Amino acid sequence: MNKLAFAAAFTAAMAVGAASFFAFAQTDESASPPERAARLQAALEARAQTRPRLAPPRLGLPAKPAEEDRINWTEMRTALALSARRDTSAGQTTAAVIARPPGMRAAAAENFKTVVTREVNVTHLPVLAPEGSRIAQTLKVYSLGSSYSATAEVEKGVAMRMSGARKKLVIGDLRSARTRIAAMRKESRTLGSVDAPYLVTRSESSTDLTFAKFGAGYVLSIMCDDPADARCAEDDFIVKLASNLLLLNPEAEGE
Amino acid sequence: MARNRTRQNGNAAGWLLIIILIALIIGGYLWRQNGGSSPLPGDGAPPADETPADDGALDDDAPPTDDETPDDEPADEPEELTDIDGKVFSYLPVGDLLPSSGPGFVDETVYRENILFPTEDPVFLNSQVYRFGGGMGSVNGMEGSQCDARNYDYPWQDTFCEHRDRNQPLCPGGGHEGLDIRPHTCAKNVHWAVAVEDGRVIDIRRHWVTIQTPDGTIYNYLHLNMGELSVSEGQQVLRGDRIGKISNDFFKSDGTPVATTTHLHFEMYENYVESPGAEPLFTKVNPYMTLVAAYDRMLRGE
Ligand SMILES: [Zn+2]
Repeated sequence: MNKLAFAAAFTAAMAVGAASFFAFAQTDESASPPERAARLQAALEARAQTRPRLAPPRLGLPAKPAEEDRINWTEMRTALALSARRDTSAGQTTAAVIARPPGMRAAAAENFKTVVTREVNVTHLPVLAPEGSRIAQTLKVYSLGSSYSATAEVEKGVAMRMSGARKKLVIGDLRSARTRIAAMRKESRTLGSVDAPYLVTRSESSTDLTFAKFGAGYVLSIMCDDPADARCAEDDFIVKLASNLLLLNPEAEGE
Repeated sequence: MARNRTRQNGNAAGWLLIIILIALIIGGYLWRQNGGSSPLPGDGAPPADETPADDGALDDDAPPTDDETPDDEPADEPEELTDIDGKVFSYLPVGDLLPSSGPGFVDETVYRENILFPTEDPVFLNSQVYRFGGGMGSVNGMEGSQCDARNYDYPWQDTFCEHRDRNQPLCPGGGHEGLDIRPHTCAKNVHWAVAVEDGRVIDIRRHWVTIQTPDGTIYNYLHLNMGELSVSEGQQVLRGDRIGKISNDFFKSDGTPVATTTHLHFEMYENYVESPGAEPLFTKVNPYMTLVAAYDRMLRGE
């Protein structure tokens, strides 16, 4: 009986001892900050990868350039005409009561004293930029032929950049990136100015609105002094900015 | 009989108490010997969003991976790729961020296969916020200065989608859509950032220099020494051209400075599709694997 009780007690005690060991082991509270830092650093080193000097395996999954990079110039002209028609009917029916509808409107590069006309003329895609009085005074366009960027000050404390590109990449990591892209697309709504779905993303350094139209991809970025500024932290400001676009090369055609 | 059993039970209870106490002491002692860490197997690669208490699960005296070759071995070249200082280059997987520092974003894509690495010297990719000298360093016990030698060492670590204040679709719960690169040493205004491919400087403003390529790719270089840039707006640049020196410039539009560490914040925008013919998205992407591949080529002298 005594032996049995002792054996039972011993087994129970060992179980408690083991449990206490693992319980202690699960908490890191008694470790000093330098101990915690050292342990973390060691854990990072343990799971880091190195690169063999000889016969290195390929890194990552390469993106491939997409073949298709054509611009639909007919669609551009149709969109311009549709927008003009919306403006006309809005003007006729509502007088000055309601603001102009969203639109894409032709504007000659020569009208902007800071825009170099040649930059617009050598760009092989529709050159879009948002409307605005301060933008009109500070707008600059830089062309790379198949891509361009337009930059300006929007208002006090907010700068902008609008870029367009004909070429596309087919991303390499389909597994995770496709999932994310699907999630991003689900959130998209329609941009009135160009009748295209859009998506707003937000990061530390900018708030970005992207859409695809006429065969090109576009991104409008705004940079606020303070990312918590409502103009960057909420969608309204950037969506409104992208809802009235200027087309700086309305006469452009396919090459 | 009944009394005898009670006394026996009393004895057994006494023994139990003593043995439990001894076991507790032994358990505690073993735990201290283990440096207070868990000896459980299978803790090698916790997910990026684990809490700090669940991480750091390794013996203090376990040798670092860099030191696997014995010291007394002849001074042959190591089998692993090293930088000009002889340090073995190592990196953590994409999306593997510091504990409690954000969700990360796993993307193995090498977006540009032939770009040059954006600096001339060896560098260290790691968190400016959650390590020594960062505002959140204490989360991981990393209290100290930004010049702490442990910040200037491998392995590299991804900081894309590191936690910031706001939510957005690419980084749920996060907001850092770039990579933070510490220069070769902690000295600011010394180490050069260079153009990764041919393109054009399309914006120089506040604390950023933006370069675009004919393919549309946009590279953003933040926190260079803006008063001493080697490029001007509108200029064509060639792959390898010096842009500016890595610094800690950070300004509001009225010129008010904002504090930050000495580092290059590097961003990349791509116009991409998930399959041919789809409508493109033109957004920031995670340049981590693109930079790992470019650095690999740089260390090989390619
Ligand atoms: Zn950064």
